Amino acid sequence: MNQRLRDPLDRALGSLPRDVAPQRDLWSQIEADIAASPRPLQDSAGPNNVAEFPSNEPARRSGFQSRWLQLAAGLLLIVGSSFATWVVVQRSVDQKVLQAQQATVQQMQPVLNAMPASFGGNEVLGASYQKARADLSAEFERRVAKLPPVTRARLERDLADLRRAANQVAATLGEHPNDPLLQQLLLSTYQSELALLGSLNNVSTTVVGADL
Amino acid sequence: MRCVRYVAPLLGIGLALLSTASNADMERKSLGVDPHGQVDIVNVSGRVQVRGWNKSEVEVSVDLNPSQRLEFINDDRHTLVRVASPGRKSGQAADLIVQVPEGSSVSVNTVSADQEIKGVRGSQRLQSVSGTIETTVWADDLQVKTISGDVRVDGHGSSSEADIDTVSGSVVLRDIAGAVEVGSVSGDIQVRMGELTRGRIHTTNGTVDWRSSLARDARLEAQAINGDLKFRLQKKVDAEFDIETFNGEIDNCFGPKSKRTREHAPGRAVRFVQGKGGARVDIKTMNGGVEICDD
Repeated sequence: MNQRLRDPLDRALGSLPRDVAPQRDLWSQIEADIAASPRPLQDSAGPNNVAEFPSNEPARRSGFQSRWLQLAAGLLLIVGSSFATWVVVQRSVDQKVLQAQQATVQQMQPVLNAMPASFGGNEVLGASYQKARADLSAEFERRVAKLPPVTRARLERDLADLRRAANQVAATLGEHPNDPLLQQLLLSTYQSELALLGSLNNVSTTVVGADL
Repeated sequence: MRCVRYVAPLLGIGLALLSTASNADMERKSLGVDPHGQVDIVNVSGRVQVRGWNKSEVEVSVDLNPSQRLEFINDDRHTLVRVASPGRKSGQAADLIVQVPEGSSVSVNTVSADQEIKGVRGSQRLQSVSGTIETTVWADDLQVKTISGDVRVDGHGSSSEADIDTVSGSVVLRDIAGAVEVGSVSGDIQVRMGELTRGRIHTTNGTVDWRSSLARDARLEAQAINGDLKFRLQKKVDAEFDIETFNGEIDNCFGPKSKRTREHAPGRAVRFVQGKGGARVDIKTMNGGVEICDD
């Protein structure tokens, strides 16, 4: 389809002349104009083809001043560009730090919202959660103390295991803060700890009259 | 030598007589009840045996200490059987045998008393701190909570819902089907069941040894920190698998080999569809290994 459409265009292009002669000869006029114009730079050029002004003294002074000006301008440019770079980099670093902080907060948000706990990590703990957990722990300690020694030892060992596991996951999460698997497991372990603290309370309170 | 031959039978006879005498001392009471009513049983320490029978009455046999008393009350569809020990003597042991209509729903609460339930077809709610729990189930729901006691559940292949939660006790489930939720901190979990519809398992340090088939739209979720998880799936498996471990190994008999998922950590993961899909299996561990195979 394109080929067919292009064929008439190709034919039209092919019919155009390949060379177009100027209506008049321009080169003779150009040559005459060049010959008539003054050539100061070409005349004052030194042996090293460096352009010089007709009067040497003012030119030397002017060159001297110009070099200082060039040097000052260069220095100004260097200082200015360095300052501008520093400002840009500083802003970029600040922004990156801010972004990283926001990202960390966002990453921790599910954990913090659901279970703002830590067993030695750096997470910020919710005050209400801390209190609830402390209350549960205190009640657990009170009740576990009244259990037979063997049962008490098992429970305390299990709670220690659970807290050790949570510490382990929290520490690993500290090394890999973006890992969703670790976040999920940490949350689950926190929940297990609360469940364990609560389970003794729940079970024993259902036994009417049990002095636990 | 000839004397020794007679020692064992004599000892057996002696023990039988002792047991009969002991049972004869047991207090025994019964009440007519609704055959599908609710029976709540409370005993702090000692033992609780619950037996389902085909009578519309609850019969209680108990050997009480002088300081203990038995509360045995029936109110409409609700029956309470409780060994009460006033004051600080609640730790005294009492052996309690309760016969209930087999269609009853039962709730048993103990602290250190062991529980054994047989022949009860209604729902069961069993709780203990350190006592072991053994029960048989049919099609009704089961809820077991224990801290350090072991749990054993024997089903009859009927579909039901079982929710088992223990801290350091081991869990053994056999011949059940349907929906199962099992949790433990350090206790090992062993499951031999028929068709699974919904399964949720979480353990911190315990191991899981699981054998079941998967319903067409089954959902199975398992999570462990340090425990190893081993699954044997029976019959034809049509499921979507998502298995991930941070630091463990994955041994997968079905689909592709697991791959490393993290640049600076040894984590491995594998995701694949086996057969037509339909069911979904989601397994996550931190350090525990995962093994999943057909049976």
